[in-house]
Amino acid sequence: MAPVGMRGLRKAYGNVEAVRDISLEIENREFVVLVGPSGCGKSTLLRMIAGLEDIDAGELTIAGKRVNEVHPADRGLAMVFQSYALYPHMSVAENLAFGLKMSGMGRDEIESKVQKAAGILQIGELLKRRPRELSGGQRQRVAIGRAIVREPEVFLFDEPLSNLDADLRAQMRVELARLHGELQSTMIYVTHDQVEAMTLAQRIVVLNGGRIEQQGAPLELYERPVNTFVAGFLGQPKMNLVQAIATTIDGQPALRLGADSGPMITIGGAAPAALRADQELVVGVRPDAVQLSATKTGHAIPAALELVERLGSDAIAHVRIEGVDPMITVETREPVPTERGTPVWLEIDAADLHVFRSDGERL
Amino acid sequence: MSWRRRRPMSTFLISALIFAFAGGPVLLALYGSVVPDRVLLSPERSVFSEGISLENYRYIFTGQLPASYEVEGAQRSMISEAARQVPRSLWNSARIAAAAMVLNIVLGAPAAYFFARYAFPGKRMSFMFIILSPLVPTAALVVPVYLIMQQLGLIGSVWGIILVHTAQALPFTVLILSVFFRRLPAELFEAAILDRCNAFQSFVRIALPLALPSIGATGLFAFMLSYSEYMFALVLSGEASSRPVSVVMAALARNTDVSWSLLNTGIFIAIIPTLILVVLVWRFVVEGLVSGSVKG
Repeated sequence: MAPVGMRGLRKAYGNVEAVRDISLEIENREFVVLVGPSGCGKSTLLRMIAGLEDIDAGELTIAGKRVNEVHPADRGLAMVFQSYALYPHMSVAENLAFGLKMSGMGRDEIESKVQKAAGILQIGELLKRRPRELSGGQRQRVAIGRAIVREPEVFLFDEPLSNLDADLRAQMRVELARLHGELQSTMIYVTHDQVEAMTLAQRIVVLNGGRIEQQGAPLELYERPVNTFVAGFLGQPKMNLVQAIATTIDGQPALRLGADSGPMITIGGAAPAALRADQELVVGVRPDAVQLSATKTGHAIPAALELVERLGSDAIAHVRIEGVDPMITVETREPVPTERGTPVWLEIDAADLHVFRSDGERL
Repeated sequence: MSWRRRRPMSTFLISALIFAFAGGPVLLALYGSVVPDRVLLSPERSVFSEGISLENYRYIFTGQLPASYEVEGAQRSMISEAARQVPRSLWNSARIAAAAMVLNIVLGAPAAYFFARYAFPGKRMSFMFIILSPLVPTAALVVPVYLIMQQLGLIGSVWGIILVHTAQALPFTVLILSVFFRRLPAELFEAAILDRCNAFQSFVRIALPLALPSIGATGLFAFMLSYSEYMFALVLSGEASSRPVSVVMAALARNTDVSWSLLNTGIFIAIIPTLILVVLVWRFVVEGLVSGSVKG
C-alpha cells in the first residue's frame, strides 16, 4: 500500500531507447494497467520499477522515497512473472516461504503467512506438490501466492495471464480483480491484451515507442482516445479509421470520406471547433456505432458486403464503401445477408465520430 | 496390431546386442578369473567340470600362491608380483578419481555458472581457451607437465595425478554445466533477486539443486576419465605406493608370460569400482535427465 512515482524515467539499450521520459504518478491502492504493443517499453518500465533494470535517468519513488539505488528486495514490492518463475526443485510451500526465509523470518511466522496466503488463493491442498505436478492455472495461483506472502506495498504483474488458455484467463481476471479488492494494495499490471486492460484497470496507461500516449479510466480512453494509436489499440473489433477531408454541405460542416468521389457525412453541431475547411483528417468510428441495413434510408452511405463473421449473438460484417480504402467493420446484432457483393447501407451518427488531424492527434 | 508384437522383439534383440558388446568382456573376465589357467586354455575342460576357484583372488589379496603353481615344474614366474599391487593401486585410483571428481564439481560448477550467467571482458576468449584445450595432444604435454610437477615436488605423489586429471576433465565439466545453466530461464534468477538472494545464494540455492543430475553425470565422467587415464598416471606416479590401477594393469599385461587367470582376476577387480559407481549414480542421472527434458 504505497504510491509509486515516476519522474522522467529513461532507459536505453545501446542506441535503442526502450523507455523515454516517462512520468507517472500511481496512487495508493490504485490498479494501473500498462498496455501497448510489443516493444513499447511496458515490460522494461515494470522491470525498472522492480529494480531488475537500472534506471538511466529520472527518479523512481515508492511511498515518497527515492528508490533508484535501492536493492530490488528492499523496495517493498513483489512481482509475478510471465513464466511464473517458480523454483522447480521446491514444493509449493517452499516456493511461498523462500523469500521470507531469505529475509530471516522465524519458522512459525513463515508457516502462518504461507497458510494465510494459501487460504486466500485456495491452494492449501497443493502445498506439498512440486510445480511440475501442477496445472497452468495452479502454477499461476502459486506465483501470485508467492507475491502475496511478502505482503508487499506494491504488486507488479508482467503479463501474468498470457500463458493460460482463454477460459482460465477469463477466470483469473475475475480472481485478480477480487484479490485487488481484498488486499487493497497498489498494483501495476503489464499486458498487451486490451481486454485485460479494459476489465482490470482503474487506470490504463497506453504506451507506444517508450512514451505514454494516453492515460485515464478505461471508458474515458475508449470514448475519447487522444490519437489514432490509442483509438486503434483499445476496443475489439478495432475502430474503423479512414482518411477524410473537411467540407460543407449547404453551409453545414461535413466530411468527405476517402477520395474525391467518396461519400459525405454531415456533422453539423458535432463538428469540432478547430475544424477548418479542406483540412485533411482521419475519421474514426467504432464498429458497434455503425448501423447496417439492407434498405436505403435518408443519409445512409451505400456499401457492398465483403465478408460476414457470425459469432452467435452478433455478427461482424466487413463492407466496402466505394472510394474509401480500408474496409469498414460493422458489429451488428441484426440479421445480415451473407452473400458477397450484396448492397447494404450504413448509417453513422455524427456524435459517434472521432475526428483526428492527419498527424493522428485528436482535433 | 502386429507392430505391437514386433517392437518388443526388436527392442530385445538390440539390447541383447548392446549387452553382448558391453557386458561380454566383463563376463569373460569374470569367467577367466574363477578358473585356473589349465582350464582356461584347455578346450576339453570348463568351469562345469572343474568348479570355481578363487585362488587368484586369494593370491592378489593375501599373497598365497595358487595351488597349481606350487607343484613341481610349474612356472612360478607366471605369477607376476605386479598383481599383488592391484588392491593398493585400486585404493590409489579410487582416491585420485574421487578427488578429481570432487575438484571438478567444486571448480567446474561455479565456473560454468559464471560463464553462463554473467558478462565479463574476455569471456569469449577464455571460454574458447577452456573448450579447445583438450585438443592439445597428451603426448605433447607430458614433458612440460612433468617439469611443472617436479618444481612443485609432486612427482610420486597422488596429488600430482589428481591435479592433472582434474585439469583434463574440467573443460568438459565447464562446457556441459554451462550449457545446462544457460538453459535455465532468467526469470528464475530474477525471482531469486526479489527473494533477497545474492549472487552466491542464487547459485547455491537455485542453480545448484537444479543442476544436480548434470553435476552427477559430469562428476561420473570425471571419475571415469581419471580412473582409466594411463599416460600421466604412469609418468607422475613413482614407486608402487602411489601407482593407480591403470599403471599396474599395464605392467601386468606387459608381462608376456603372465598367467591368464591372474590377469583376468586383476581386470575384474579393476572393473568393480566402476560398476558400483554406475549402479549407484546412473539411475539418478538418467532420472534427472529424463525429468529435466520434459518441460515443467
